[in-house]
Amino acid sequence: MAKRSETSAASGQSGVNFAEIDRVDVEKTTVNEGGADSAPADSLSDGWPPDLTRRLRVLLHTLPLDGMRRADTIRDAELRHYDGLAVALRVLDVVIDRLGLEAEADREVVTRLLRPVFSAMDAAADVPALPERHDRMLDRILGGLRNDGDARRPFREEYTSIDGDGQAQRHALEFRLLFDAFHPSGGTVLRPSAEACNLYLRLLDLDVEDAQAAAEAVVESQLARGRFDEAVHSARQARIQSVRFRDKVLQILRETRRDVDRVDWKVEVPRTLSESLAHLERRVSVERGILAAADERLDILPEDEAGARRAVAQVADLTRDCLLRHAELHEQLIGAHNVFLDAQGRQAFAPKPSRPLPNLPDDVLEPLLRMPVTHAHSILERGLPLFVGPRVPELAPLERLVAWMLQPRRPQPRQEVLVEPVDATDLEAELRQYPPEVRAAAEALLEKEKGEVRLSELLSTARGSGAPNAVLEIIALLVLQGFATEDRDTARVAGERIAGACLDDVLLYGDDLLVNPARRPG
Amino acid sequence: MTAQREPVWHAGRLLQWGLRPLARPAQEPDYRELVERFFDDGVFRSTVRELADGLGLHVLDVSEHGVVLAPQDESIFALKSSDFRPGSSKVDDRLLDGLAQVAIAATVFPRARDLDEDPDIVRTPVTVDEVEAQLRRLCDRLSEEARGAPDPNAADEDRGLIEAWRVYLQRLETMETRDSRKAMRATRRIIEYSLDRLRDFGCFTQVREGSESGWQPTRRYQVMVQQLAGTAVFQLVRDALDARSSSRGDVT
Repeated sequence: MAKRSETSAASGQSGVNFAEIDRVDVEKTTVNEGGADSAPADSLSDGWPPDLTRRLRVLLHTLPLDGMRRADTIRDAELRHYDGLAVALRVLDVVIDRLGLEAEADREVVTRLLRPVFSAMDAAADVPALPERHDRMLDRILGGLRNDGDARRPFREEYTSIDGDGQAQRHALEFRLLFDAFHPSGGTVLRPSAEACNLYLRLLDLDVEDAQAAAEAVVESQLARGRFDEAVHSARQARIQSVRFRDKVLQILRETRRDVDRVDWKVEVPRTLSESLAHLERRVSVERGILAAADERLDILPEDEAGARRAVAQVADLTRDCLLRHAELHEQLIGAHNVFLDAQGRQAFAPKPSRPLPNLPDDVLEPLLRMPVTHAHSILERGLPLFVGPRVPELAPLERLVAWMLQPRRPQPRQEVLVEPVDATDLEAELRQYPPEVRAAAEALLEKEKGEVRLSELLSTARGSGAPNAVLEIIALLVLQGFATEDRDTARVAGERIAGACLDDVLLYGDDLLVNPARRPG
Repeated sequence: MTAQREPVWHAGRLLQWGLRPLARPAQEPDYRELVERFFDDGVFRSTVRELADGLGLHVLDVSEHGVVLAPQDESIFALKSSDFRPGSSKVDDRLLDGLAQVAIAATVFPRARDLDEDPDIVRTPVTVDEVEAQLRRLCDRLSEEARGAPDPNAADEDRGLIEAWRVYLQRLETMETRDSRKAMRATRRIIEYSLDRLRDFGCFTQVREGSESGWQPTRRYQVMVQQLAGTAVFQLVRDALDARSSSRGDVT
């Protein structure tokens, strides 16, 4: 790739222009399909250099911020001491700083990070810091940046330029600064528009793409001259720009995934991508240089200059972060062409919204209301499912239905079940359900037997002595415990099977056992 | 175990996730894996599409937010309007439910180019009042236009030949004879019911907007209306108008 092409950095501007839909003729809502590039004002003319239009458009993007400043004086009295513009810039700073990070800025983050700013302004005005008031002020600022006043539509600023024929042309510029975006985790985050990023970074008097290289040169020289705090600041700027740069490329890829037709893959995107690649390669080498310089500095700096050492370490960290992002981006750029091919293959089958797009109230709702009921009804019958999405039909398979109907009624699960801890090795548990006197009687009968005796004999003797069935059951249970030798603590007798012998009692049936009350199993 | 299954099994699973409007890939590793596979594997993608098509489903969008599906015409997955409001079989009720749906979409996307915006951008919540005002404004205008024209006769009304706006205003008027506050409630209730049902389908969430309750469209709803519903209904309306004007042409 064009490794040291200096021109590509300059021509890379196309991507950082305030590029969006510029509409000619404000009265009608017709969209100038060609976008800003084909606006007549951009054509060369002596009376009106095309650059002027670009500058004008850049300036227009600051008007919402200007409005925020003006609002300072007309706000509720208790909010007047806040500097709206300063707060707005800090908000942009926060959201841009978080852009592309895993935890993007949401309302909570912004509230938290703005808290000290508000408190400082409160202190300066000698009023107590009230979180509730901060929230209200933040609402105003976010509302201003999102254009809440106009239903969060893009800001719309009109301006005049002179076209090639010397005619004045009225244009409308639409742009967003900040918007709520759905986050995959389910919530919403605040996201700056490309325009806001550019605005913010340009306000710092840095041309985005040039500035990336420039910022690094600055960091390097600051490190070399020992101006560590400035170096940290510059490294931070460089990182913001790399985030911004990454976001621009990802945006293209995202848009491609969404709708391949919206992105110009014939000329513009391949150019942007190849420029980006060249740019990345340059940056990575510069970043490595900075990293090396920082490490070198750390070696030379004496131990007692803790502040300087910390600053240099911070520069190194920020730079490492940039490197990581760029490595990741590099990978994505390499695969970018596949994204395009994939998206094309993927979207070939997807239903496309037909154009022109309707104005729902006037082009759909009104004609429907105008139609005879039967016509409107038949259209709405077909249209309704599209608004609610697929519904899984509730079908009962006959086989399962029959089984379901025949199954025994399930006991109602109890809401709360007290679970008593059960010691599984405690065989007494089985015995415990018998009253103690019954247990004692059974044990006494068992104790009487001194030698080996058959279980059948034992039972008939016991019954002969007038013992009730419960006592017999316990005797059998105790013998069985002795026979099943996994428990050696509670069994009182030993039991052995007698081959071929059968126990046939009115109470029990099974193999007869040879019982030896004197010998505990072991 | 799942790795040994046929791709079509995985495709079926992905569609099943798509049919659960509240599931999110971010929370379901299986879902996430399938979405990634959809992106990475071209063969898998066409399998998913074919399977969906065979089932009567459009795949509108696949992203880290999940799969957004829409029923094709006459699909088994298409909600019948009688199921939208079980227990009511009146044509007028269904008509009003359908109108409410269009009015809700028209309030969320009032301008043509709103339909062209990035569906990731959260649109502002709407209120029942806003939707009601939208419908009423249009109905009042049409009523104004029809002023002076003879009232429709009862036979026309029985055969469903009166205009839809009259049904909406009638619903209002029959209530108004009793109590004008109740009248508002009658149409508001229809809209509220529609929004409530949309919430069941994962299309809206309810939020508090100051003192009143607002309805926040979800990304899924935005995708459905922007990608398909808005233009599809527009097309149906255009076709109907074309058919009417050409049949009228035959008569004269």
